Amino acid sequence: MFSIPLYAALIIYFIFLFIFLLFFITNLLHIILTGTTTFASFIVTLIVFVLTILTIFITWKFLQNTDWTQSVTIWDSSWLSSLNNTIQ
Amino acid sequence: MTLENLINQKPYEKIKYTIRRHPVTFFPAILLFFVLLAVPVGIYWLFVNSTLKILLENAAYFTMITLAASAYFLSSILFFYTYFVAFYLDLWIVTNDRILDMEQKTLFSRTISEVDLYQIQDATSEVKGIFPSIFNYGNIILQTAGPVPKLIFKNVHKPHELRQTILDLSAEDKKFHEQTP
Repeated sequence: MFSIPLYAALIIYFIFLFIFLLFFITNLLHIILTGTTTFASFIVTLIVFVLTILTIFITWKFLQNTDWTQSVTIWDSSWLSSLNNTIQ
Repeated sequence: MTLENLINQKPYEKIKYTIRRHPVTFFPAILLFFVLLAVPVGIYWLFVNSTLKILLENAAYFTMITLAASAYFLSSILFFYTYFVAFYLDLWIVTNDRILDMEQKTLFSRTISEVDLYQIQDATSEVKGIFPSIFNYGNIILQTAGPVPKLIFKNVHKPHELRQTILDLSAEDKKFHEQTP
């Protein structure tokens, strides 16, 4: 059996958010530095920004009462044996 | 930064056209974006209607699945934004002196080519396919005598009219260069 604490998943998620932020800023800088700050690019940036905030907000709403210290089993060899039993 | 600064506009130079790809050619990306957003909804439906439903009832697994779904949605949003930037930053600028081809190939790959109008030797415009014919967009291929032998305007609106305009501007520039020694 292999278990990890739940906060490990949260740390991985925060690393992902950091990489996301880097790429988002890179895209935004591309638009600004290439003189393409038009109405269309503003609207698309706004939509992307709102969708991002909405996704993070909904995630937070779902997980605000989570106990991050509990552990989660990500691999258990008994799963395979139960699967074999099911096949037989 | 403005386009004038970006192209180092000369004092006598005027920007005649700023050309981007036809907006219709961005439609497949929007469609793909909606499909990507719908995938987790389908997977959730499969979870709810199968024995995997017990995973959603376990608080720890529910948390893991929520974080994974959130990361997936954010990745889809980022993919859409990056694709839009690559699409929108493909730009052709026609001035009364030259043509600039700015191509954003990927997020970290950008090419800028420049051709003097008087060096244009031949211009071809093409509209191929059902959608290009309906929405009147296509390619313009310019053959030049300069260091950039070929310049392609991809999926631009009204390519035939634009080709003629470029040829007219080129003829004017050739006259100017013949007059000034």
